[in-house]
Amino acid sequence: MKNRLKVLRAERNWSQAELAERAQVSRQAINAVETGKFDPSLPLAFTLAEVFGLRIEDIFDPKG
Amino acid sequence: MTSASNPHARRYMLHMFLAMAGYCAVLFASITVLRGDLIGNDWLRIIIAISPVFPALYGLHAMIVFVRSMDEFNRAVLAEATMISAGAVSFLSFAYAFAQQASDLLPEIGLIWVLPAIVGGQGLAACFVRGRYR
Repeated sequence: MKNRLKVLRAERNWSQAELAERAQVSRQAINAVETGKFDPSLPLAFTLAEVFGLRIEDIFDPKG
Repeated sequence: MTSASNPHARRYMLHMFLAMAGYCAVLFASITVLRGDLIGNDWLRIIIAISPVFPALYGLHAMIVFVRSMDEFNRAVLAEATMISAGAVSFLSFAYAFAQQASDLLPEIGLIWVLPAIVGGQGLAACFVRGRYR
């Protein structure tokens, strides 16, 4: 699944570790989601959307 | 699997240390009692022989609590590694038993090696599984 995590992170000048801390997951989890190798659960997707102040569909593209 | 800055990891390491210390103490005591031939009753000897498993079970409990504190990604990695290790050990021991029954060339291997093989295999498999997500 494609996502815009890297772009959104860069816009806010956040490191993976910083985003991980905000979402209360490990940095490895953020890296795996960001690279598209691990699809997050719905609760994690909602958490990430909340952290960025966006909707889930603004971050994740299921067609990717 | 653990990180010094993670309070859950620190708690896990403390409880695992306590479990392993208890295991060593009970194992030493049970071996001493069994070798001393102080107890003749077979059922009592069996109970004493398996007594080191109880502190080890406390270690399993500590592990379960730690896994529940992990995020979904690390839980997924660990679950996959555990499945690979358990599958590999099961099928290898299954195949070995067939081969061992067919020939006298192969020595019998005790069941005591199953747990260390699964734990060791899980650690090894976790490295490969984690590497796939990098």
